[in-house]
Order: sequence, then structure tokens, then C-alpha cells
Amino acid sequence: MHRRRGDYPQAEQLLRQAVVLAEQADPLDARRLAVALNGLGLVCKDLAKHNEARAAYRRALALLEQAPGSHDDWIATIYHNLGGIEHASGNYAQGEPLARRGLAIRRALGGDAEAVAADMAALAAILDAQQQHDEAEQLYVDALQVFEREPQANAGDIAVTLNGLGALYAKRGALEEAEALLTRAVSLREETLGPRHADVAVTLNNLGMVYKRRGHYERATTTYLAAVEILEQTLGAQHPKTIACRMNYARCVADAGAAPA
Amino acid sequence: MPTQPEIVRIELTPQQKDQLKAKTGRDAEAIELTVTELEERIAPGRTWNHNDTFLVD
Repeated sequence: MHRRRGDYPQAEQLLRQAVVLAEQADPLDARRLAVALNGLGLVCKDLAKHNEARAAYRRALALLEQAPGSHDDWIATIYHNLGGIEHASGNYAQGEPLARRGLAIRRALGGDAEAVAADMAALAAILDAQQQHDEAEQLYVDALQVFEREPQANAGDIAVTLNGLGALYAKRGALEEAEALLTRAVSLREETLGPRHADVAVTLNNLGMVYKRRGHYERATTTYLAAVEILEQTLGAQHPKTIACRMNYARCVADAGAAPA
Repeated sequence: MPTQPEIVRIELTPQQKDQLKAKTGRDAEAIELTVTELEERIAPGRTWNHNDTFLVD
């Protein structure tokens, strides 16, 4: 709940407690400990503590692979999340096989179409970052189709997919399409997470870039500034996303000054 | 010695009983979950991360 609200330090503290409680359980329930470690990994990723997140996921994976019974649903999720850490760290080539493995395991399980779609969207982001735009676009479009069957239940996944697809179109120069998708993603995130959540700021940052590329400098600077303020408040001034967004804002202000009136 | 997993019993409301009957055709007074199953179901949000694309100029 704290993570969803954007209260990451509080979420981290609670999840660390959950891990300790699961570690102390007698007998040890490997699946329960792995679930707690996965939660900790998620919040550590949000806080850009990538090494800690990676270690938590790796430990969860080892527990699940050694535990009796089938835990392929969680193993697929851990591979998905390990791929996510490499995506966040900029190690896209390392992330791709992890994301593909998670997707393959989940597909073999059958059944949970939304989880498969989430794996597809996560892989799409990794492929997009490696300039494999065609496969990424297809994965995003297919995933979106699945999520849109139940839009209310999947609002978070729809928003991240719209954000990814919008960013992909922006890179290709399809700015009108990009703006429409990113605008929808911002609205969805504001509705579901509240207007001051870090995820809202991520999409505002991308929308700011699209406005700038379309020559709408005033709208771009306002949008970037709103994103910077939210990121400073939620993730802190030294978080890599805050720094990158501030740089985008500064460049936009400079370019706006140089642009013909 | 390993102990049995702790079971949590959740009594259903009349409305929930009706919903269950309508969807499955079965009558039930309550559902029982292990603590682990319960934690997985009440865990907020998704269990997977989102690879959000963040554009840098």
C-alpha cells in the first residue's frame, strides 16, 4: 500500500520486517520468504537500490527453485523482475534473456493472460531500449489488447503500456500518436495513483519531450517542471530519474530561449 | 517437527454466498486459506515490476 501511494521509504521498512518475519518462521516457508523478498526487491528498484533489489530477487529465485512443489508462477515473476532491474540499470542486453525466460515460463503455465501480457510489456521496454522497435511495438499492442478487456482492473498495466508505446512512437518521430498515448497514460495514472506519484512524473517527463519536439516549448517547460517537482518530492533530489528530468528541463529552457519566437 | 500450515477461515456474508452460488453453483459458508495464500491475495498491487520507459533528451 505504501509503495502504491509512493511512500517508498516506509514501504521499504515494512518489507524488510516482512522478510525478517518470514526468515524466522519455523518451519521455513520458502515461498512465503520468496514473496517477501520479491516485495523488497520491487521497492528497492523504485529507490534505485539496484544491487539490493537484484540480490533480493536472486535469493527469492534460489529459494523457489529448491523448494518442493511447483512455483513456476512466482519463478516467472522473479525472472520478469530480474529483467526489470537490468532495464532500470541500463543493462538491456543482460535483461533481455531474463525477461524472455519469464515470459516463456508464464506462457507454458497457460491461464493468466494478464500476467503474460505484463511480461510482454516488460520485454517490449527492454527491446525498445535496444532499438528493436518492431518487435517491441507488436508486444506492446498485443499486451494492451489483453489489458483493455478489463480496463478498471488493469489500469496500472494499461498506463505503463501506453507510456512505453508512446515513448516508442516519440523515438520514431510519430509525435502526434505519442502525445495522444502519453496524455492518456498521465490521466490514467493521476486517476489511479493520485497526481503526485512518481509514475505520473515519469510519463509527464516523456510528454514534456514530445511537446518540445513538436515545438511547444512553453507547454514542455511547464510539464517538465511539474515532473521535476513530483520526483524531488517522492524519490528525492539525487535519484537518477530526478537528475535526468532536471537535465531535460534545463535543456528545454535553453532551447526555448534559442528558438525563434 | 513440521507443523500444519496455519489456516485462516473467512466467513462469507449472505451477499457473498449468493455470488458464489451464482458463479459456481456451490453452497459455502466460508473460505479457508493458508497464511501464505492469504498474504499473496491481500498483497497490494501487482507482484511484477513495470519497465517504465523514461525519455532523456
